[in-house]
Amino acid sequence: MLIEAQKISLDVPDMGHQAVFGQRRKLRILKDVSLSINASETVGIVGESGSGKTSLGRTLLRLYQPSAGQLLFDGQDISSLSRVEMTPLRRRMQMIFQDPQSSLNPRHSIGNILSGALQLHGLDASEKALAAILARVGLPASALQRYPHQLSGGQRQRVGIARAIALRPDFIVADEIVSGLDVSTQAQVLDLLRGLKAEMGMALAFISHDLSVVRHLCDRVIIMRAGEIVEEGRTVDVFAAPKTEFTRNLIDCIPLPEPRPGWL
Amino acid sequence: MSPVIDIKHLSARSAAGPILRDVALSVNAGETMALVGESGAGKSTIAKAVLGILPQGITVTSGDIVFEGKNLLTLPQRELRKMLGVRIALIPQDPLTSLNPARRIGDQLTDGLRLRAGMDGKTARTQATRLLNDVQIRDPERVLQRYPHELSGGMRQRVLIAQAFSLNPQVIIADEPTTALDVTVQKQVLRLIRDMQRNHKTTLLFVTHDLGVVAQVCDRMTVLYGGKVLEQGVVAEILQSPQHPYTQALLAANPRYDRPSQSLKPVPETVLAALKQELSA
Amino acid sequence: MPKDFRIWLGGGFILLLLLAAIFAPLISPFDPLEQDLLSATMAPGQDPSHIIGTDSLGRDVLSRLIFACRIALTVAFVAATLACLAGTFLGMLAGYLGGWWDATISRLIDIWMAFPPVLLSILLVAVLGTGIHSVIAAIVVIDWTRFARVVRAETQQQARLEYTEAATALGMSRGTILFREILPNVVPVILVLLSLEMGIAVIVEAILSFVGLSVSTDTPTWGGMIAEGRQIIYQAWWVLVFPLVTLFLTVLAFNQLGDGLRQWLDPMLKR
Repeated sequence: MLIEAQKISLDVPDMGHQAVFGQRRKLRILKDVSLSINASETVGIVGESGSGKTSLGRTLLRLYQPSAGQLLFDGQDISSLSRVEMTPLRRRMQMIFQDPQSSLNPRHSIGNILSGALQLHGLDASEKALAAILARVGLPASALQRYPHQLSGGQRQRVGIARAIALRPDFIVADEIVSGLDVSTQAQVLDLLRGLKAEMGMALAFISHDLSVVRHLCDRVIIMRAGEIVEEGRTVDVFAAPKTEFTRNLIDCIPLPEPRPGWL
Repeated sequence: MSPVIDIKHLSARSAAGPILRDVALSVNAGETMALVGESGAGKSTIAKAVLGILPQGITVTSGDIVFEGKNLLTLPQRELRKMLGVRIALIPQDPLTSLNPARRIGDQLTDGLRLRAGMDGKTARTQATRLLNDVQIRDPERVLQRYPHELSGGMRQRVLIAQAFSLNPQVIIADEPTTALDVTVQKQVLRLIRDMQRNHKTTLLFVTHDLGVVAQVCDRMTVLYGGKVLEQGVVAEILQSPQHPYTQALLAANPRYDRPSQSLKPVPETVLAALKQELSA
Repeated sequence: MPKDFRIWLGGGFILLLLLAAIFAPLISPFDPLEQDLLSATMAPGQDPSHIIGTDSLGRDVLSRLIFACRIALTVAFVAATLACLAGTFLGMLAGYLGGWWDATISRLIDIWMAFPPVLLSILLVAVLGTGIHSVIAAIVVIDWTRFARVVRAETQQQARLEYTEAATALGMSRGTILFREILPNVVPVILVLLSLEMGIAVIVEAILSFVGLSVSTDTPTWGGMIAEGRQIIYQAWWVLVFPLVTLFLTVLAFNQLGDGLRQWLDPMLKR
């Protein structure tokens, strides 16, 4: 078991209601979520907007601190480690963001972005090493001198992936990483991700609103609604026979690219 | 049957190069025509050209857009303005930025009714309530008092649909109307658009990148790439047996939940190379 | 290369002033303090050696104008830079760390800005005594809030972007994130503000020397020259007009440079 969450909850201050005195009211984003992810397993975390899937991903990486419950990484309790205590573990857990436009610093070149990550953890950040990392995500070495705004959306997402795999992590959270891309670019990025997974063998939490994409990538799938896990199981099983009405409806609402009279 | 909108030899370009290349497209009365393609395909540009709202820097170099016997491209601005919203309306993509955040829903919805249909305030109000009823918004009286940010994304999109249909236009252009919505809400909104269209006998030009949406909502489709029409025809036929290699590749790259995993195929380099050649020819 | 002519025009004029200030003793036709009562209030062109005339004590106006650049530019650069450093530092802390830091610094700014600035500066100079150091101190103490407010807002906005979160996920410390990741994105705003602030500093110095609260009265300053010229405006308009025009052009140049920079640096992000 690489990642294990035991009944974790997450509260955030409610920005809509400012109390005159005392603390802001709290909103509960995650409620008693328990899950586990094995080494080199791909787990899809699916839900609609407001389901808490993105918050869950960030909590698993301890970018957010759970308000209750226990979070284990490789057997170690990381639920309440400080920022400094987390630093050595950061090399082993990485994130790929939804929007590569805003998750890549516009003022840094691609080379600078990658070498920053590597140097931080004392890894080889030579030109050769950087070029090798870019090659793995299908980008030419000449991209090192480029700035994020000079790349296309698909290329930027490849840089986002490169930054995450550069540290050779054991666990990656990918948050809606193909939702802003065209179908053909999306297929390329999914292909790349599948290849990298096979090659490097890290565990992957793939967060998405798109069940079709999850179907093609994930071994296991977790369905979320309003901060709770509704259903969980092997992907083939969940798609063949969803256990809850919620999941069944979620699947049924996806329009298939062949006319089905009566679907609407 | 003569087409309601007839686009012939439409070409447009920007400083960066051609945006539309000799597009021909005709939409028949009461049908739903899909404009399909990836970003940069020119599908939104066609929609904007019909509405006469092309962004600065894009110019039409040739062609006609004939609607109700008039060429929209040569029509004086004043004439065109009179048609927009009344004869041709738009359902925009982003329901949040398309509504004025500082004005109540009621005020925005009655604008067209008062200014274009000449209704007095009270009649317009009653009509707006009826419209919200039509788009299945419960408690329309209260929603009219609300500001856009107080509504959910699905609700806002319903308001925009009501607005588009409010003056009973001949043609409605829907520009990726469900892209920002969750699938469950998307299904409801698609059903709503289809029902409204049937009741009003409206002709629909539906811009989307989602082949699933095309399959369930549209009658005919036009596949675009780099501003060029690659394929055009009845939706069921094209999706069943696509003729153009790009359409075939696009379908193969589209993930389906009812197909086994590992079956996704990125668009092959050979197809893209052939397309490039086709465009430069 | 910036295409905006305002950057070249504004920057060029300031560079010209800078050169004049540095090489003042070499390029001034006369000693700016040398009195010659026999050639007092000579109009421009009346004596070819006094190109733009002399004042009531027979001092060469052009030479005084050139030497006055030294005070004006020293105050502009030093005061604006110090205000910028102080304001940026506090603004970034407040914007990035939030919470207690933000509350404290923001309240401080609010209280600070409630003081009438002119009164505060006169009070400060009165307490510290006249002299260029007091002028600089007065400007820094009053104007750091301009930087702090804007930099705080900009830092907050940048901190909400995902690249900051990505840096956290990589294991970067808060200090590294602030200086390596966020600062480069805030620099454009700071540069624009800095340029505008230099213009403001020139004005403040002129006001203080106009009322005699800047450097000692025998050192030439634009404000001092304007004050002297005001008294003899009907006999010798040039004593007033030339320093006034120079002051006007200098402030205009700083503002144009600032606006030009804003235009030039901004689209770089969006491109």
